[in-house]
Amino acid sequence: MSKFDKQSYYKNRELSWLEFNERVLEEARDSENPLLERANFLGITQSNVDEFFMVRVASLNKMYSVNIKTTDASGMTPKEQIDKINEKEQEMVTRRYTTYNRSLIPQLEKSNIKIIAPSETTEEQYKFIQRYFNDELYPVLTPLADDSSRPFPFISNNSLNIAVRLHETDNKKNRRFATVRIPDVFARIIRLPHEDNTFMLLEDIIKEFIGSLFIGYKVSDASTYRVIRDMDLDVAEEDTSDLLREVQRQLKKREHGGVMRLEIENSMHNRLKTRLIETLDVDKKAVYEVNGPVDLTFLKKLPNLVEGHPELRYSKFRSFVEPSLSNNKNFFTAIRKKDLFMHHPYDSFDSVVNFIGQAATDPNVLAIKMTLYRVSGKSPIINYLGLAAQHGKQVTVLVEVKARFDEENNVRWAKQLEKMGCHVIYGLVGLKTHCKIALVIRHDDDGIRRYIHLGTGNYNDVTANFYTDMGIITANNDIGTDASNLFNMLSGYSEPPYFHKLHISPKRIRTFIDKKIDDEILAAKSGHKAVIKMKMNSLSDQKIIEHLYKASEAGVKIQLIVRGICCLKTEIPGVSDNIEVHSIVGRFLEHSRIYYFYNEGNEDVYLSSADMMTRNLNRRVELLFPALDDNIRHKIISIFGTMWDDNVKTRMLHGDIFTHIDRRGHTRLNAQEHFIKEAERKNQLLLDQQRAEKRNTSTFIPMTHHDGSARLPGSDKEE
Amino acid sequence: MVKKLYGIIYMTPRQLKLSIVDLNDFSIVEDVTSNFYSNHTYEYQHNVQAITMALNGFLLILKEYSVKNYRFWGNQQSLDDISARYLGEQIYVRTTLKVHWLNTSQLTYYKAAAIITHLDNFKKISSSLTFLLSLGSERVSLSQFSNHKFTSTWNIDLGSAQLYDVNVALKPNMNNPIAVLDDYIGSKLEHLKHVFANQTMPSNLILQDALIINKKFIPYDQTSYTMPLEEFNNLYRKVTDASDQFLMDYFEVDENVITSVTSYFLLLHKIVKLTKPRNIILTDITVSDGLAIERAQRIGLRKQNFDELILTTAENMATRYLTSKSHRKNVTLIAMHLFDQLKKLHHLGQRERLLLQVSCILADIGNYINQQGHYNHSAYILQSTKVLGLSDTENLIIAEIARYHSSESPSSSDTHFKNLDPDVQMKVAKLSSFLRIADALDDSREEKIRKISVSLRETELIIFAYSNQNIALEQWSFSNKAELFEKVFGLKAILKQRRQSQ
Repeated sequence: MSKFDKQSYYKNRELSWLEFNERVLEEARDSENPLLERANFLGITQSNVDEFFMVRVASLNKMYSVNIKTTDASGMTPKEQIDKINEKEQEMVTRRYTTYNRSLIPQLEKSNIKIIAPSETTEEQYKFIQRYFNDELYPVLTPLADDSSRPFPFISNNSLNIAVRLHETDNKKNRRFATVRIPDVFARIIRLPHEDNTFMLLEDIIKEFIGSLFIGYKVSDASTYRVIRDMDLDVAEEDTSDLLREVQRQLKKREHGGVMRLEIENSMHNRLKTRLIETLDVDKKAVYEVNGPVDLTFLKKLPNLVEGHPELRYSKFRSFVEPSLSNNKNFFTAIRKKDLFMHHPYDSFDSVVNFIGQAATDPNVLAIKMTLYRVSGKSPIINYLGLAAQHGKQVTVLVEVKARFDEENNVRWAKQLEKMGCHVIYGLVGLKTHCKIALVIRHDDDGIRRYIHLGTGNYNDVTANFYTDMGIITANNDIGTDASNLFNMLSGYSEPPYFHKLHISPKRIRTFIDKKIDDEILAAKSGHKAVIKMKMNSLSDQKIIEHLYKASEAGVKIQLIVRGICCLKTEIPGVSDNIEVHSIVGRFLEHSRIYYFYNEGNEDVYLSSADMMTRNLNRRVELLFPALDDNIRHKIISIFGTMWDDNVKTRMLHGDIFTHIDRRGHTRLNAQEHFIKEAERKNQLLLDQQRAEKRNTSTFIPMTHHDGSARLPGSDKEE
Repeated sequence: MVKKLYGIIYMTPRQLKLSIVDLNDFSIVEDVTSNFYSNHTYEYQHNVQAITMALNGFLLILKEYSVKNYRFWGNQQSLDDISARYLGEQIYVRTTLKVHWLNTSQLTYYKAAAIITHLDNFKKISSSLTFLLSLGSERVSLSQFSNHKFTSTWNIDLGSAQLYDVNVALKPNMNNPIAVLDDYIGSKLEHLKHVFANQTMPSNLILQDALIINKKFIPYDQTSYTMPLEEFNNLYRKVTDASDQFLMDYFEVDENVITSVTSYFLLLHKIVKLTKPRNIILTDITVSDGLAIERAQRIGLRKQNFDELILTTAENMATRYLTSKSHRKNVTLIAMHLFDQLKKLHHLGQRERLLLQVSCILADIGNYINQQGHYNHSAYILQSTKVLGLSDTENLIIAEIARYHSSESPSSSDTHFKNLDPDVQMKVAKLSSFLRIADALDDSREEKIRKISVSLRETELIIFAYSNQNIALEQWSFSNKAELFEKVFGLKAILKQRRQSQ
């Protein structure tokens, strides 16, 4: 094999992920961030790690359970990885709760935002929680006894439970265990009356009155716990070796849903603890005793519940809407003039929604086709697609029902879309459709035209507010043909002999990236300038990393911005001297994927829905598309430059450790803030312009129609 | 300008293709191909499910472009009429699409029409001798053009289905399967050897429907690629020596397809040896393009007329069977005059006019076998040598016209005639009544009557024959043969001679 194949050259992807979560935790600890946002960050680290255990640790456990000894790129067996993960996560848990107890809670209290215990209530508040318990909670609570006559009840994944230790009131010797599930139909945080921004956690209310569930017994201990189970998701799609598919077959016979992690309050009585560990059959290393409330995800909800306190939040900003894409203009005319580029959330996602909206009602539009991976709760896009179908357009939607944790949601949307008259394709067998593309077929004056939106992120109007993504809307003919071909392929027709401009995985993105890297290597070897810049969420594909090492060795300068997992190591002499890796974790979740190649001065720029991960390159339908318009290309290069120069939210990779950049002597640059300011400046400029125009209007100009339809120069000549 | 979008669905035993074409300029708006129904069988009957799925998807795509004009054709080469009818019904109830089956001669015709219209430089290329080799699922056809004109076509009984079967049969247990395959293909080409024995002229070979080779060589913004003979020979050597894996890599195809590549190259190489071209022109122009042209013609967007292809084939066939050129010319002239003047009477269209014309040319070819009962010989020759561009029904019509153009005439007591489809019966009766009159007017083969005019009266049709010679023989013949006309149209035909002043 190649000389870059050494285990020491690769970082284990799970540990790299845990370190990413650590960077998110740093944001929760960073006093420069507004307090409520820090609480939110802390909540995010919790939900991140929960998902991580349900999926990643679960796959490792599966491999371990059938005794697989094969190692990953860094040379670790599944068991070694699981142990290392638990070791690391134990540290993280400690830090997470220290942050919660020592930093966030006290500082929130200073701002009069309190999460209190029943003992800290006023008399009226106590009466409130008692009533709440009796009227609302009591009827739905089901205590389940744990004794020799019945099996231990099934504790479902991710549910909060209270373990109870009790004895008969008259007979202290007769000890019993019981467990009570905290119903998830109620909000976790209850707002208390008679005082602003004072809250209580649901489990604290239940614990306070839990005695009333056990008449004739006395409760001596009640503590919260939670289990994370193997969710038995489609592991084959996961970014691990093909081995796992083999494993999956063997596992068919086995019982699923083993416990991956058990969290308990550290105040739990030893007897209870032992009993839980024993009955849940969980490895001691995977037992987490936490110093505070179990499951901190409620912190994500807190900022919305708190009233007032704008000073504790990120300042709001208005995203920029390109004037030609505002709702009262004819998009299609604008798009035919030039390609349009958007950088969300700085550029408003409304433009994309409006694009679909206009297509839905435009009399000349014949058909709309799009892919949906994750959509928001009340998605305007879904409504527009329905509207389009009602207007007699042919609407074809590919809903990926395998989108993790959104499966149910997506099936529901898909059904609704079908009801509204859309043609729905439910993904492909064995492949997740991850590409983000919308195609509008329109009957223009001069014939059939295709308008295409290509994006790096999902068509989700909610996440678009805090994910950074890029998109291009174009009427380019070649891309249009490619888009049609892509949708035909997704509808089950054969692959066209070639695509013009788009590169589509499985298969072609990897080949294409490989070729582009090879070109740079060749340039570097001939003594020419050779540069590769990439921005992605995760970099874990061993082959690609190997190729980047090879490029580095050849002298290609490589700049990578990787938000999450990075299995590549820098500063290995003779291997990765020419590679620099940055990671930006900040207010917005960095989500855009940019691939740049110097290519002898041509500076080719591509955007993509794909990360350089094995699953994206081998087992998903992904899209890589070029920025053809020179202005757009330069714009993206300059955006990458700004991100690269960020020295506030950027961490730099040294070896396999990310550390903050030493800012001394440099002016502070927070790229995300910079882009916000730029959007605000553009908004102001636009406003000034409009005002100026209004002032200058001295004659009456009647508005007859909102805009002309798309016309080509010379199109008037035709009949 | 309103787009004249037209949908063409074409079905072969392997896959289905939908092309949406703008008939104004033949630009392709959308091209969709189904996956192979199956890798193991070339039979429609086993793949109705896959066909149905693909077709229903095509209907959706047609809606997306709001295309209301579309038509569905099927390649009938591998099916007999009854199976084709069954299959057509099965597809109809599942998709509401009615299939129009195309036989080999129609396929060759549409492919040739497409090449003539669309191939860059076809004019220039065909100024020298040009061959067109079309690969099909059941049959390969080789056509010849010289001086821009279509001259002849030969069918070779070697389709991808056969080659696939032979290949599968040979592969595992032969120690030199390629040599055996080579011999097999050679045997199928035996009948062409004498045709091309003296072929020494510089020529070009256009290769049509060689999908795998096309994909490799035709640049994506072009429709053709010209390969000099030398490059072809190198490629031939490379391919015949290569391993399957090399071929899979080289042509970017999967293993299910690879078996046919070698056999195609063996075939090609043999054809090249026969025709001796300087260049091999690969093109991805297909039968669908020909179907689009036909449609454009039909709705008047296209003036170009490919009837000439059909007439040329007929002429060449007549010459091959040694019929008298001047006689068939004279008969054609008179029959066409009758047809054109009597439109009010027969209500037939341009296509039937063409059929009559073809019948005039070919009616006498049976003389080659035997003068006695020559009309019957003509009929069976025509049934077994289908005329280029005609559907099976059309071919049947001309064969029947030939049968009834001479002494036998269709009558209600004739069992053969009774068994014809009513629609065919009527056309045969009308058209052969014209041919019979025309034939009678040149019974002596002396071309005594070169011009006629007709006058349609209440109860009779008077035909004025312009001639200064004695036409007693023609008169006598006419009185025998015009009877059918009276039966069919209810008008008595009367021949009157008119002498022209010198």
